[in-house]
Amino acid sequence: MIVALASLAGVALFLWPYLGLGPFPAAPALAVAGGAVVLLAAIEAAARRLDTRLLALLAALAAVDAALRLVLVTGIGGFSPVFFLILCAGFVFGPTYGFLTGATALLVSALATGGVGPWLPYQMFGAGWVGMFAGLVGLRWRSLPALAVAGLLTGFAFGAVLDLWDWSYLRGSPGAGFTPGLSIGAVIAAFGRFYLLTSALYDAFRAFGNVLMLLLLGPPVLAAMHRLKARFTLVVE
Amino acid sequence: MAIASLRGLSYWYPGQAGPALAEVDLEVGEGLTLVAGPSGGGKSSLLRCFNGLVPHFYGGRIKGGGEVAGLDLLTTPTRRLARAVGFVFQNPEAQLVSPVVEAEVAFGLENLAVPRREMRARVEAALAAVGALALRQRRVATLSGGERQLVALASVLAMEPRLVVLDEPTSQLDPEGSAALLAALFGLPAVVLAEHRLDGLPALAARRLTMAEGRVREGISAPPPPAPRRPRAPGHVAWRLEGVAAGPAGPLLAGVDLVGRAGEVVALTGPNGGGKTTLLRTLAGLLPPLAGRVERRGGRTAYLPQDAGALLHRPTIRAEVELTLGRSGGAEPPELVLGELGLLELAGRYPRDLSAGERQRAAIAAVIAGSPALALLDEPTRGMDAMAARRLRDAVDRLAGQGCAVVLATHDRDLVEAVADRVLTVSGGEVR
Amino acid sequence: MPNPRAVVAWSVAGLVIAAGWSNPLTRLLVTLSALALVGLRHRRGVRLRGLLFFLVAAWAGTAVLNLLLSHLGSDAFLTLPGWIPLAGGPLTVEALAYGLVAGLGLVATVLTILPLSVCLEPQDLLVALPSPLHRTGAALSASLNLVPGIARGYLAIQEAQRMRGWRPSLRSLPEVMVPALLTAMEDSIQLAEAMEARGYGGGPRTSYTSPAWTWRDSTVTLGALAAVVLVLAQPPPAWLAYPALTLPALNLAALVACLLLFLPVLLWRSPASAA
Repeated sequence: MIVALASLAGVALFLWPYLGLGPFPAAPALAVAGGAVVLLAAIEAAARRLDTRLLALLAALAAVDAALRLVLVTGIGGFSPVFFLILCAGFVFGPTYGFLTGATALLVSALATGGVGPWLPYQMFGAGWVGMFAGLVGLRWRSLPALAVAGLLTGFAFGAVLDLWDWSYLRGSPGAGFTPGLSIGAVIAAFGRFYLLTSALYDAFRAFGNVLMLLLLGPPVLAAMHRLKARFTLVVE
Repeated sequence: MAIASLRGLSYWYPGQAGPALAEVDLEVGEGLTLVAGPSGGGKSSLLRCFNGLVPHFYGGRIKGGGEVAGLDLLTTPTRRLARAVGFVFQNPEAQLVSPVVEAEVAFGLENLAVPRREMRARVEAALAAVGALALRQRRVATLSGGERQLVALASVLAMEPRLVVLDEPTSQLDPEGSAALLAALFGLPAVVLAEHRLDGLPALAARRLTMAEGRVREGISAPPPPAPRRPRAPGHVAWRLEGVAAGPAGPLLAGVDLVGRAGEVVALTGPNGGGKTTLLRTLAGLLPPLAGRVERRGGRTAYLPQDAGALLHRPTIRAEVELTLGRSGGAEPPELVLGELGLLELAGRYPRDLSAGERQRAAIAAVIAGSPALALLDEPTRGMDAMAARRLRDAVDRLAGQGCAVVLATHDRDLVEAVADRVLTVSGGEVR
Repeated sequence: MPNPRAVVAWSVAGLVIAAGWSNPLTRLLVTLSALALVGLRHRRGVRLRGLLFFLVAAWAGTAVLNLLLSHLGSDAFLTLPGWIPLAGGPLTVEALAYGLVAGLGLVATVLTILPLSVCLEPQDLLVALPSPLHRTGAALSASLNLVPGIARGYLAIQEAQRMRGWRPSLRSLPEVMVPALLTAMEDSIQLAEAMEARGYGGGPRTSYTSPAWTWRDSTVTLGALAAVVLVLAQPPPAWLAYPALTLPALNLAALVACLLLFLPVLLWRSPASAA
């Protein structure tokens, strides 16, 4: 519920430059700040409902990405091991937890590696939706292949959604840029060209990286999460 | 009067068929209650009942009941029981929450919603009580293991609990750290302490208990007498350090000249941070020497790191041993090393479900399987009870008998006395 | 040590100016003020060179991409053959100029937020979170505490597995990744256990620390507030599909707003405030 409301605000954050609303001098800054506030409020509201165990697991999952960035060369292309954990967490513990893991993981990485920037709220929403999607998949299908497909799709979708942010900087170039007043179809076609040109290959590394990680590392990590989940039932005789 | 009482308490961890606690009836009063017993015998589970971590944090199945300071254990959440019961854990690395020592000590008080002014006084008093007032402004990340455990104890004392429970708090500390922590315990009104290396503690305890196979009984039996040493005949030179300087960031050791022989057991002792681990890693080839030469005769090198339990990742202990055996190309059956370390009954279990001591043995088995030519063991008896330490000794004897050169870094005097042919002290950049 | 909340106020003001006005001069001033602040006050251990390289690359990248993709404007200096997809057509000075200005906007926005992560210890930033966000603060703080341990653990496990015959390859990735991940998860659960054992979870809390607030922090915050007011008081500029090649005028209000951003450079520079 909280996450659904926050997601709505997130959609607005991504789409407002394209809605042809009257330009307002401080609009981009206010959008970023507003996005950040909505995210923090959503994280707080969701985190307050969490048991300490899940709160701590959240902290660990968020820390792993930052730690791996410190010791490993950052991934190839758009690949990053963080999505694997976000996908697993959402799959086992549900959409809300998935969103929370995604948003928090990107925030911690940015804090620990000095990568805080105006893109951060966008990345947090994007990664949050990745986890949420894995959670929704997990509600319906419980098998590893289903999660792997979710990893593939979200690998591309994450890049495409973030491109909406980059794209607003390419205002006015015909062909692949955004110009207000075009029909929706033309806008989508232009975005498609922009995406294929700038991001498709980069995102492919992320998408197939996700699948590979899930197949190689998924079983033991999912098992460990299920073990933790088993602790939430207590039988008193 | 009893502060805590357990009545007919049985407990099963989630997914486990056998009980971790079996019909425990126990009353705990004032003074020091010492709990001994083998690793995996139920000490940790018993201690966790006193603040409700068992069953509230672990889930599973429970029967019977109990009370602490008038609070029912099955219906009161741990965060409420925490007002009455303070708990210090085994692992100094994973129980501190805050970046700075004084904030750490204040963490429990924040949770009790103590006003800020009162907090300052209580933080100061608690740090003074454990003799750690000097650490007040330090960053937690810069503390040694012993200092961390003192801070953990101070954090608990600041909450002014009726009962303080400590789960093998010294098992990962050096002798100085252990002594400082135990000294801080005397004078506390009610303490339950689980330990497996006792060193004179029983004489100080008001009450002595043993936990084994989930059952509690009164009294602590004396450790078995040490087995007689077997004579050894060291062979050819197996490793050699010539004028070696080494360290992870700049030289920690300098001008080291050492020789070790096949079938010889060398023990490295000395304070933490003195260079024992650096020496082992240099010998293993993990750390290139900054100067000088490192030579090893051919054959596999087995290396047991500190916190070795972290490297286990296979579904069973047997699979861990088989992984190493497969790589080493040796023909020995996994049962040899499993039996030697007393792991046959646990061979099919998931290593991460075991107690800290059992896990350490599993890691040793996974490392020394497959007849290595050189075995480098860093704190091998960490978290082990006397029986397990005896088994480790047997394994080291067998390795040496097969012509393996063994080097171990340890604080454990019993182990040194029982197996070492030569003792070297690594301290202040020198090896003597 | 500047108070984190004052740094946040400064960043918001910088962000509002950088993103709110497309004027290259204001963007340049914001960039300079942020560079000065970051250059003078970054905490030890932060590697700035890579970051600056990234910013220059992002700036150049935006300009080049815009030059190649956008063919609007009248001053063409080169025409690429039409068979090149998207890039084919006239390359104009206007497109380059627009790209440079847009890129400068990107650089300025990034730089205004940078002091939050580069000038402050992450832990201190979290302490400044308002108390309604204490759960978030606890999660983030625990997470940042876990980072160095996980990194060390990963390297230690890699070493130990290497001695057991592990060699890096895709197939053997799990031998290092799985134990590292499981250990990180276990450690976090142990941390949760320790937190519960000390009364954490639910109920009202008080707080032990609060970072000091000095007159320097007040001044910076008031300056930032004034800058935001100056920006918001400006009439919105007319929407231009594409800018003309004239250097826009810099009015007094804009100049003052930008200069206010240099306050922290003056105030937070002295050794007394660095203590």
